[in-house]
Amino acid sequence: MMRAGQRAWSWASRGGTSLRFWEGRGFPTFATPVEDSGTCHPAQFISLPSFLMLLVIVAITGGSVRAQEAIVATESITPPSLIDLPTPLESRPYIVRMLVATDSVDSSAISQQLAFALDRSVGGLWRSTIHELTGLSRADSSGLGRWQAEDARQKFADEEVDFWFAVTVHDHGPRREIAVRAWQPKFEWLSPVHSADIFEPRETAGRIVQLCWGLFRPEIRIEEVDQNAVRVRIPAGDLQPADPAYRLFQPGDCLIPWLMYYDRQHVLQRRQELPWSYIRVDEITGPLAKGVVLSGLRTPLAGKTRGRIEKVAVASRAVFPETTIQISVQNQPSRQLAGYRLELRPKLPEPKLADEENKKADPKESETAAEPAEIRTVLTDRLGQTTLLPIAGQPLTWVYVYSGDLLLARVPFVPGSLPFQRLEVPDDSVRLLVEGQLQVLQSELINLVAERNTLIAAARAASKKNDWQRMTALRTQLDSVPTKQVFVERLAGIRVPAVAAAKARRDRNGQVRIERLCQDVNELIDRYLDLDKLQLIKDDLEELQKAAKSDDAM
Amino acid sequence: MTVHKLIRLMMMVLSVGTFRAALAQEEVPADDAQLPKIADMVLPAAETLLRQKPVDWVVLKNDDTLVVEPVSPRPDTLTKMDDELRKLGNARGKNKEEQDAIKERRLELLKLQVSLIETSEEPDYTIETRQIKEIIYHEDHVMQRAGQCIDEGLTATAFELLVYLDRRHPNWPGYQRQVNRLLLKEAQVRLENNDPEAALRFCEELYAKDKVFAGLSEVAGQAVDRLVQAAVDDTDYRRARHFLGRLTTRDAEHEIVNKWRTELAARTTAQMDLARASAAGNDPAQASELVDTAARIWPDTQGLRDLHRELTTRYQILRVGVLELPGETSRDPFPSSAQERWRVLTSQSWFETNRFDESGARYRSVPCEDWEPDDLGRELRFTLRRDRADWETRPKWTSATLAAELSARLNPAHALFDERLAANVSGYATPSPFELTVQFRRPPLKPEALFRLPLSIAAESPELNADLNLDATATELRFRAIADGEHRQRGVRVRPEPATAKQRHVAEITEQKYESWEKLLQALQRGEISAAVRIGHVDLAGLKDDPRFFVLPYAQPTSHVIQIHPESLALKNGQLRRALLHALPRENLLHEELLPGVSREPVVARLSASPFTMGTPAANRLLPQPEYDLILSAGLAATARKAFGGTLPTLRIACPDDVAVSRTLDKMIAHWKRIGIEVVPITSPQERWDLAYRTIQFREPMVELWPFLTLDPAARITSLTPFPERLRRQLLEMERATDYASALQILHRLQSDLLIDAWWIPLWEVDDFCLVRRNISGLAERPVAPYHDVERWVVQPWYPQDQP
Repeated sequence: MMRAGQRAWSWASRGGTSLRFWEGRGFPTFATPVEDSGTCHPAQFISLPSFLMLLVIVAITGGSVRAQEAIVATESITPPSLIDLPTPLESRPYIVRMLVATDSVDSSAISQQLAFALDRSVGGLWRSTIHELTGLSRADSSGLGRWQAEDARQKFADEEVDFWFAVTVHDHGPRREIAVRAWQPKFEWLSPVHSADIFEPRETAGRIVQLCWGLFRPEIRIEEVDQNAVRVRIPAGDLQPADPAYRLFQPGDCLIPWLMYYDRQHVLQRRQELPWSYIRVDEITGPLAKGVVLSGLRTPLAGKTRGRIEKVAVASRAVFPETTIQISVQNQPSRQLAGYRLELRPKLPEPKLADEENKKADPKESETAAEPAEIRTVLTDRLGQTTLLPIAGQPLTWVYVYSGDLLLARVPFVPGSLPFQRLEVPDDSVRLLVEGQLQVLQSELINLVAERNTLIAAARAASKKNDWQRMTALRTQLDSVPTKQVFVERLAGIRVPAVAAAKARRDRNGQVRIERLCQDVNELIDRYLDLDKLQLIKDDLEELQKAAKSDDAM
Repeated sequence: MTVHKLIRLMMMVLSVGTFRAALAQEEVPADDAQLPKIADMVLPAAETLLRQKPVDWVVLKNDDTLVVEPVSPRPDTLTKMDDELRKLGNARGKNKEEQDAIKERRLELLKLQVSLIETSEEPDYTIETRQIKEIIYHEDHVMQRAGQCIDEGLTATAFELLVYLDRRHPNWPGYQRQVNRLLLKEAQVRLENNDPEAALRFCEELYAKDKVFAGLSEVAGQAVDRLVQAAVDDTDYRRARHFLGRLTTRDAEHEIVNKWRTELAARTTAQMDLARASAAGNDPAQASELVDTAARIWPDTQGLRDLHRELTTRYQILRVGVLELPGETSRDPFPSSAQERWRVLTSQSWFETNRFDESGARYRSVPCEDWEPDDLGRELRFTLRRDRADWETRPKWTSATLAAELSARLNPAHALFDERLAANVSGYATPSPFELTVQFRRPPLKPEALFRLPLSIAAESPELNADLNLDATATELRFRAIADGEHRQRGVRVRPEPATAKQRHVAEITEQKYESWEKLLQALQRGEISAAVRIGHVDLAGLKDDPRFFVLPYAQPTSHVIQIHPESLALKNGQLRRALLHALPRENLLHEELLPGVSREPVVARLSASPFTMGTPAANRLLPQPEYDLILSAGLAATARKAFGGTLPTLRIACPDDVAVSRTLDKMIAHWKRIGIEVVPITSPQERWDLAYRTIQFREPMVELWPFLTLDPAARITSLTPFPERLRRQLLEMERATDYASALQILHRLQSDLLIDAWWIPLWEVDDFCLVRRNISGLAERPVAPYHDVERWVVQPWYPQDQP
């Protein structure tokens, strides 16, 4: 059962909704006419210094035919003035609109104070406008909390705005409650309500800005992906906040990668979040940054994207107090997996960096690399759920899902970034069934071996005491214990249908695991029920008896 | 007799010649002056009489006394000889031979043949009977010595002598009188020794022999007086009546009998007056108690019967005998059967078991009159009862209470949080004060089993339940428990029946603890109690045939099982667990230790392969009984020992405080010791344990298995951690099963897995029975628990009137 604001990802891809966004296609040069002036996507342009450098290179080397054509075209057109050029991506501030609703407070004064506060904190990162929020019967957090995504979509319809903030200021006697809710149209993300209580009215604007910044999710453009290493460009990355505390990114921040699909007119057709994948920003140099891909998938961002697909990533921050994570069976979300063991690790596995590519990865090493004290183990409840709490200083957590000792899934996650998340893992019921049956078989095998050994020991003891009558009786008992063949047949009875079932479900991994489990038991049978060894013991006993009889006869 | 005298006697005997010579000529001892006179003879001591050769004294006319071997015939030797001689008279034989024989016989009868003692040769002599004054027999000596002993108070010696005498010669003249004297003396001695009961026993024996024996009445009166006085001082009137009755049957007009009859009747009357006063003072409980006490003082008192009927009908007290009370300290870490009994007696649940048969448990709801599923079972609509019968003890509930109870169990922060219920219930609503709807995430298999929640009235307003007992706690909604001394506990209705009620029911239950089943049975026979919650199997057949009682079988047998502690490090070893399983000869243990002396027909106990009630769908019928296999268990123990590095750890076992179970457990421990596994019982409930002997009834195996295995009543997921993955999965799967058949299949598989891997050791199941006197009505035919529907039981007026 999904609640508002929840999303569910399986290992398979998910669809998205379309939204008209940027028109145009490909990666245009300056020669490409801008169809919708003023609303071009910044990524369509290369920066001016880069462009000039390109011209020089092409002029020196002769370039490709296409480059030559471009030069020809350039020569035929009068170069535009720098003022006419669109603002580069790195220099373009986020367009933010703040809507403020107040009860019993002068809203114009609040707006004015807010503008000042924004200048002092966010500075040039945002190009913000402040308006009055209408349509709320009560300007408090409860009013904001009732909004659904559809409400936000209707209320905040301006396409030029990157980020919307709805703010309420409500006085309860001496206490003032401030509540903020954000809407990011590009990703159709409606934030939870963040609120704060203050008793000093002069703190109002500052606190509003703090709350808004806490919900703000800046984005990046993924420019290059090499295995797990990525190079990204930061929109507004060239701009500086008035207060250094309001920097867009800091090393260690995690972002959720998205694939944005556009049509020929650069209208967004659909968007797709890459499940269980994050980009961690490690090194920031102006508008550029390097990072690594952390993912439960093998290569989530690998492969070249076609021209109309854009790779972006948006900051993932703990905006919810906790995240409920639910484990269910792949393609059967109603089958929640209760009682499954989850290990929460802070670090592992580290992605393979380029220079480590050639090194052979040792999975065991990576499994044990985390300090045991840092590993937290939890069990899913009857709904297959468990709660992950954000940890200060550790934005990302690796979630390991086990069935018994078998690792079913290993995914990264930022606790608190979502209220609810479902993780679908392969169904291992057949393996479990086989494991149980093998356990029974093993128990019986141990029983048999224990009984046989006792009988042998007792027979030997009887022979030492020349109690041949008892020895014969024990020998008869020894002959009657089940043979190896019985166990081999029973093992086959377990293995064959289980493998067939796994095959029928096209569960290759399951099939391999079942074969391996059966093989282990088969080795046990071979080791402990070796017929030759048993025959040797029986022969020994017989020899002893014969020798004793011959002694008696003499 | 001194040696000197003996020598003299021997000389005398030698002088008279041999016996044969005596036949020819009559001779008397020549030197009679040397024989002792009778006056000089000393009565032999008791020791001599009992240990040495018996001798008779033949006293001659001159008082000389010969000590001879016992003469014949005896007693009255001379008289008998004289009689025979007289009979022969003038008889003549038909022929010569006969005539000679008669003649010879006449001569023989004129002389007494004696054998002197302690002579080496020729001891036999004859003495003319006319010279014999009397013969003092050995028996007479014994009798005399016994008499002396009695006089001297040496009753034991006297008894020995008289027994010796009776064995030697029954009905010796004067024997009976001496015996009677001895009995009286014994009674007197006992009385002096402050043992009046023993004195009374001797008096009774003497009454049987000679009821007018001099002094008997006085001694018997004293004994009974003391006994009755002591009994009355102890307020044990039955005992007083018992002793009085014993005297009355022997001497109805004895003054002591009359004295105490008057006294006890007066006491009864006084008690009746008090009872009337209490009744008038609107204290029916005390009035009922007082009049019942009065009935136990002197039941034949005038007017008692009517008053007793009136007062005990108004306030009915059920007296029950038990072997265990809930407040007792125990070494068992689990709630005792007494605690469980009182939990059921005092609390009310949302749903409770009404019946248990071959299909399993059937439920009823106390607060709800109706519960209808909706939305294909995803919603349940409860309708609360608005009316209440006079006999019902339950409070009035509104949906607010049920909602509050539910809310507490769904709230993870609350102490009553129920993880399982919270996972099932997605929401609830109270459309009206008498309606509650509960929504489920998935339709529960048996919602009644899920809602067996104890209720309280904490959330209700006091005005709504003004008729409830104010002293009761919020969870005491049936009977309020009141500890009454060390051996008694009372349960009083929290809601008394209104004064206008036409038919009254049990208002109070009094449990009386007894040390043993035998004592309890005695109390039952005496009429001190009217019911027993569990009866000893050894007396089952006899009690079933007793027309005074109903013997009712409980609807569900009690399963006995050895539980494994999930956290026990030692028992994580499967070989060790299986060794424990196969080392027990269960059949033998059941019949020889748990139920010794109990007939195997009809069957009251049977071996079981799982602790679920056999014959119900929950029990896996295909499960084979675990075998007793000493070789296998020894082998497994050896394997386990190897895994533990050569020494098996000592295991600790918890056990209920039941005599039969403790006895059985001792034997089990001995069997485990045979294969090298050391098991010791724990001594306090706080002690860590590895195994536990449990006596348990699974009403809903599908629901109760998890808490049982994990020892976690809340059935939290985390509690499953110690168990293997497969077991965990199956428990979860069973809980999530959407149809009964699937759940049952998993349950059967679980039983098989648990047995194969010895996660429990099923032992047997035992049919239990309760017993009630026939003056109690309204009983369920097969009660599911003690005090099943006790609110509807009626105790007809009755008190014991038999002669104790």
